Amino acid sequence: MSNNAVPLLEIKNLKKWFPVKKKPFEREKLFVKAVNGVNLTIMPGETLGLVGESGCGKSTLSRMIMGLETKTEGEILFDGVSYSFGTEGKKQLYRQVKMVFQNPYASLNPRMRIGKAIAEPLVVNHMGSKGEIDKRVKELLDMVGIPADYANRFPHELSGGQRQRVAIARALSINPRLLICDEPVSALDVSIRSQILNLLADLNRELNLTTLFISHDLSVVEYLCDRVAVMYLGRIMEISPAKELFARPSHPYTQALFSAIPVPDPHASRARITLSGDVPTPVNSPAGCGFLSRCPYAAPECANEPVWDSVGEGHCTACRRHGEIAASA
Amino acid sequence: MEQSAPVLRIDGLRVDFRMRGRTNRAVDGVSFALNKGEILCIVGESGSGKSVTALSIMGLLNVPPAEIVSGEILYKGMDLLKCGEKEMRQIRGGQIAMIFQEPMTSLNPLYPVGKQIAEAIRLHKHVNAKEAQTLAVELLKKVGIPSPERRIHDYPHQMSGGMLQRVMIAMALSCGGQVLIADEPTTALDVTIQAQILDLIAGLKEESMSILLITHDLGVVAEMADNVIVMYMGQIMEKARVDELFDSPAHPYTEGLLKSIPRLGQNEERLHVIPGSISDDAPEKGCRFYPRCEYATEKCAVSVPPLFRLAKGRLSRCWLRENEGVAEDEQ
Repeated sequence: MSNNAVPLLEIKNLKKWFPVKKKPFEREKLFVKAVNGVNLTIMPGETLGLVGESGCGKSTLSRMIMGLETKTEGEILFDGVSYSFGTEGKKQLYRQVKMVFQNPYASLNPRMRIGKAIAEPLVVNHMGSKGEIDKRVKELLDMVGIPADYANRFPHELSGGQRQRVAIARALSINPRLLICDEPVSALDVSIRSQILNLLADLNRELNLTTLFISHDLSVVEYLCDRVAVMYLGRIMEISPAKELFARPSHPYTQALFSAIPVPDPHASRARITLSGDVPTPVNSPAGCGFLSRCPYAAPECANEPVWDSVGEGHCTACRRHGEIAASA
Repeated sequence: MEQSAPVLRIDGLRVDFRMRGRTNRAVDGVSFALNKGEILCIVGESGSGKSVTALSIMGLLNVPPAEIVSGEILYKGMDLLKCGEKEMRQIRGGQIAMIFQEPMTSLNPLYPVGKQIAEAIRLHKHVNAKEAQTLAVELLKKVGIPSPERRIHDYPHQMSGGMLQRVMIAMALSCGGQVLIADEPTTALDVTIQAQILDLIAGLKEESMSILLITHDLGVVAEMADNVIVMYMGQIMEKARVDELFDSPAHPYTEGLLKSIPRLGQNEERLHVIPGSISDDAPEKGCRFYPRCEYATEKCAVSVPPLFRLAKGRLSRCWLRENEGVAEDEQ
């Protein structure tokens, strides 16, 4: 990472604990530690991938960045300035950060023509006269590859892929400084998925977008992202430039995750590390490494808090034993 | 593989859905055979008719709006489409079992899982409640659920998605069926859990169960399948052995699908794209894939290609293969 530039987004020791309803006679208050001490930076123009299984806290994290969820502890700095969650602060925030959601069937208002849906952020933020807004909508539709006369259609007249294009156009309408894509292609079919991925890659290049790309599909993340963070049980396990991570995963969880992906090649040799058991519940998760209960390399020292260790240029891992693991491989 | 008679055979299956005066053909002339100890994968995008095919085998289609227009589904020489509901009940679960994409919605949330497995056992076998319970514990142990004696008393909400899918598989195995139909069994699961379930299904194949695996994930296909059927808009586009399909796809649609998936460890500048989308209405005449096909010729626009039988028992529904094989006659 370059050290002189100011990161667009900086997250410091961010936590989100959801309280669980207390049972009678129970002393201790329980918490779901959805996000439990995350540190991240996103530089301007960068695409950061965030991967993890369901329940690892990646969506809670993105909702906090989006200002839809308040934090329990820690700090989020946007452009070097801490978030304020007042009315005015949120207004400012919504002008800078926009989100594309997983399900384009649910994220568009079924009773709003798509031209109006795309224009809405512009209207709300008083960005131009009616004529200017109409022109901008046409421009946006053209940018995402939808014919301009579709502006008068309703979402149900569009296919899933087209709807996701509309959702992207809407998110980009006010030129946000940060775009968050939460599983934008996982609801789409294979042949449509590649169309949307190409569109996102093109837009990234043309508009020099800063993107946080959340997905559980590692091949998609590798295709689109500059850097990738792997999350497990509310914490970042490993962060690295994408190519480096896929070439040399150093955290045992990342390794297991990679080996579990079915490879679309029947001749591929399979050295699968099958993890036993499920992801433990994040309710009052104990101290120490979160992956301890499923890790094939677990040792007594792992009950201590994991330490961040650099294993290469911009490649950090939260495993105490990564050196020994690499040596034994 | 051809030496023994297939366990399950589908011949010229056609299924219509009638809604608001419109008729949509969801499955159009699908024929295939499932052999003993084979994993046959059906791949296709949403709307390709793969689930409807599976539901027709199980006799689980809602009639109406669905209607099986023609075709035969032969299980051990018996046509399931001509069976009465009573016979079908014996076969469904007893001989042919099915697991679904969402294990959470396939189980009754109000009963413990052990009770639900025991219920399935007692429907098909003459055992008392206690014996059924013991069998349920054994089954849960077999599908790899830790401390099954305790877990049979769990309700579905107390289990994770992977566990529930194991319970579903246990239930499918409970009556010693020969055929398992798995409709997207791992789509709702995380990759590390998916790996566990796929291992479990691969283990069933070793016990010479015949498995019809429906999926849209080509990675899963490559890992699991012996033979693959590629479906598009209700028709079989290609059928081949898994290695042949991935090495040299014989249909432009298969080729397009294989090229459009991003692969780990390969630096692609751009992904291959199949233009258009499947939801557009089927062309009036000609090949179903013709509007999206990059090799389309004039012939493709006017006449429907038959399935051509190529070398090594491969099938391809493409005019480009006309000179390489003989057309299968279709009912």
